[in-house]
Amino acid sequence: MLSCKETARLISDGLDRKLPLRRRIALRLHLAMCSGCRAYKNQIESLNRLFSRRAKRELTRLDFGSKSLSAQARERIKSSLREGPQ
Amino acid sequence: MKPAEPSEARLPNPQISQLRGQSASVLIDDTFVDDHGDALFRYALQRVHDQTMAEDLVQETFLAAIQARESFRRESSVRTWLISILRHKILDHFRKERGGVQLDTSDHLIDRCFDQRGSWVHRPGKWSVDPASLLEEEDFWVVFKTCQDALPAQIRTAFSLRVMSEMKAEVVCKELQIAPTNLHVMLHRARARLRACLEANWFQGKSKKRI
Repeated sequence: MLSCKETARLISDGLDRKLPLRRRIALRLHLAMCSGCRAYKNQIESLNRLFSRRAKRELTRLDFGSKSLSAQARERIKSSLREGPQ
Repeated sequence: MKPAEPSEARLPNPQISQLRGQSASVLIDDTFVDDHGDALFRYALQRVHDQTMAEDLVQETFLAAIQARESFRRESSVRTWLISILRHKILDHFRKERGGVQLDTSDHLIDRCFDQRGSWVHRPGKWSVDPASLLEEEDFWVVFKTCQDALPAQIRTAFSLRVMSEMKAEVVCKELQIAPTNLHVMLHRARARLRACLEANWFQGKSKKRI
């Protein structure tokens, strides 16, 4: 019988690899009986989806944002390009 | 130092003229830095948490782009090509930073969530806000950034590559030269810590406000 602590670990693992059959069954059994772990799984998975949507969105928004290269850094980069790779 | 005027910045110099002569490759000059520099900087800053380091990575990316300009293929956009170079530079940076640090055997912050039998001390409950609704909620992402920055460096790296840069787990293991089990432990710790931090600083506050 899995503990909640082991279950939490498997919930995360499941996002990065396919769990072996025996682990999947043990996980399902535990989840069926434990509302805390069901809530945890729900939260971890929906946060994970949110993070990856944000990461995708970021790529389309790179031209907008408050942060930018400082004038010094910009000049340094330009002059290093004029000199070429060392 | 004052930024160069655009007209001055576009003055040809010997090397740039030379690049211009090579029709198949991209033109990498001052305008190119103005067009892509900030975007690359923002991408890097989301991942390395240090402004100077992010600037250096952008510079290295442009230099590498000059050297590799023949490898640019028209089917991808210049931006995509630059980001892929930058991603390699970020990986190199993490590899150097990692330098033989051992993964701690346990994470006290996670251990504290469970009793001796491994059951929850505070059983997770339902959140009143659905995370799916937070994509554009900028206040949430400020809290997220604070929580992400508070992660131990190693764990933050693993999370940043696997989740925020959407690299495959196998690729992260290979690039950082770590065993899959170690990566899984790191990601579990990152997710558990982020969840706890976001719950304490966002989700709990929200539910209280609504009651």
